[in-house]
Amino acid sequence: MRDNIIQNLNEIFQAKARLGIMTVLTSMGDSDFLTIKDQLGLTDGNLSAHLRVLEEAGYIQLEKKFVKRKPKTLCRLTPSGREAFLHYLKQLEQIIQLARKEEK
Amino acid sequence: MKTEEALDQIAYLQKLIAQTRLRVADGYPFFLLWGLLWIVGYMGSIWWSHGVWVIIAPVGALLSVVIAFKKKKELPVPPLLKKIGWLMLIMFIYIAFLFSRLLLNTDSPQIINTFWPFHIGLLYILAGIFEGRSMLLIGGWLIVAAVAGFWIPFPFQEIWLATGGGGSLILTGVIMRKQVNKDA
Repeated sequence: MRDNIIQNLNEIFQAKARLGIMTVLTSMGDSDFLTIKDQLGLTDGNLSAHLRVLEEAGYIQLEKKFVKRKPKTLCRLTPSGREAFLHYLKQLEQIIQLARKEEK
Repeated sequence: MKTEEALDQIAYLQKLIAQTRLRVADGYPFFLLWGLLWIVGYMGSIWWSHGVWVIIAPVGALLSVVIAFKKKKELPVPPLLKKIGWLMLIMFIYIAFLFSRLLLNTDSPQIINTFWPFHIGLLYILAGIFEGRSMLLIGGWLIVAAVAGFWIPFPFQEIWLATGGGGSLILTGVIMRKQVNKDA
């Protein structure tokens, strides 16, 4: 059963940076690029690449706008992104629970 | 994925969530400022008059705005915290309006003294719904301090609110400051 769950795990969230982005957006709500960068300690290029992957998967929405003539990128979780991430967390918990049962 | 990797990911998630909570701890100067102002205000009410709040409230509001702008320059503020900040400001203005109505209906120092700690406690509880247990605890304590103080006669009610209310705000600020410094 554990193997089955592992096989079905969403690969997009397995990268630590993307897991971090989803966690920040889930716990802090809509966040701008600088906030996420500050929280995760990623470089601009690295964060942009991971955001693009999540956007292409339809898990987040990126909104670019100018605030006081400075470009600002706002990141927002989509309903399907939230659902997929919560499902992923449940799967992680299941893996750990099954492993504990097997140990017993 | 192995079980260890799943555990690693969960530990990483927990660490990130704890970091998010530390954002709240960044607000320690507000707690230190208002704690000090409460002590000055309530002690000033004993030695001078309750009119001392007419000076303290705008001074506190002005200094809070200065601190907020300084903080904004240091760190980007997440939109959720911004929304909470605006919500708190709107509620604060509404409470100030209620206070003005209260002054028209009573001149009891006991009721007037209880009003602000009680309502600020409610505001903290509201913020705590979004920001976590520490704010809920401070809010709950301020309400307890306000209600308990209602039955304490002058000047002991003022002393109680200065120490129990202002003191607890300062203590909270000191604890938050330690938390921020430890994380830095």
